[in-house]
Amino acid sequence: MNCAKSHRLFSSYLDGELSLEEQEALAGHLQSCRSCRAAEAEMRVQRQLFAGLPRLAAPLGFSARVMGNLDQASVGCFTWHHVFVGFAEVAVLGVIILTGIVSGGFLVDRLNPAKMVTASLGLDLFEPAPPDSLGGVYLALTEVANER
Amino acid sequence: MRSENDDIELIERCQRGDQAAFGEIVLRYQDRIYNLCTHLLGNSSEADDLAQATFLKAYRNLDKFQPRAALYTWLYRIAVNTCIDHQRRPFFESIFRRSATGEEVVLDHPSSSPSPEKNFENQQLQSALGKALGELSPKLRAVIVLKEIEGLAYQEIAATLEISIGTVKSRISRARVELQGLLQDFREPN
Repeated sequence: MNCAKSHRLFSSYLDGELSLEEQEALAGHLQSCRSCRAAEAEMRVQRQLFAGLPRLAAPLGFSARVMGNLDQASVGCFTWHHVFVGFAEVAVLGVIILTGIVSGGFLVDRLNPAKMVTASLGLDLFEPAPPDSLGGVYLALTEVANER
Repeated sequence: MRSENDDIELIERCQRGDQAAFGEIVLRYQDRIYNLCTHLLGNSSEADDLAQATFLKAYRNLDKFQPRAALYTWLYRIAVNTCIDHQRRPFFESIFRRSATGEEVVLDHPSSSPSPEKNFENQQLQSALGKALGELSPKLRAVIVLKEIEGLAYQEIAATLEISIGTVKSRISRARVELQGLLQDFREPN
């Protein structure tokens, strides 16, 4: 038996759920392997910790409360509480979906080329440059070049 | 000594409408169911609510109880499923749920520690174990609690959770390995 197989068997070994053959094989390996012995011991410590956990008793009046609710239980689990919670879930989901639709529609609107206000780089947005200005001279020169 | 036949007789009386018989069932199993719920949830307030819910569900479904199964197995199954469902509940339920009242009674557990220092160390480790249990997934937590705290055998756990014995073994092994790692982190936080 190797360490990998040994580790796989620790849990069942601890619970006494191994066959006799497996128990003997594992016990033999543990005798010769210190690290596996330490790992198996760790698992036993864990069991001891569980054994030390307190056993809790039901609170005072527990059975009286259960018996007091039996009539409600016998007609099924319908309560207004469930209806309200269910309605609240549907309502909030509806709000989320509606918000998504509205904001999505708004974004689509913004991206619509027909409605977008695009900055035009056409020169017709600008007032013509005065003839005696640098811009006016430039425009005159470009007009001449275009005619040629 | 109480026997499974007594439980079956009580169930049959319940099925005929005898509420007092169901009261007897509650008294017999309230501690075990409450203890199980507390360790599954790590919270005694929620455990009270869900332990009550377990018995109420059992009452509603008495006609579905199969006599071939042990009553405690059936009750444990309802309790485990109720706790797992509760931990998967939608966000809104967590806002609107009601909290239980009632004092918790802790049974004394005699310590076998040789010294106060060792006793304190054990208490710290047990507290760490409780927290580590909360870190496990609900499925792993259920099998390890049923095994280590409720003391069920593999076959009983398999019957309770309606899974194969192989799955029980595998989940218990995984739970122990995970707990070992979590407890190691507690001992050596750096």
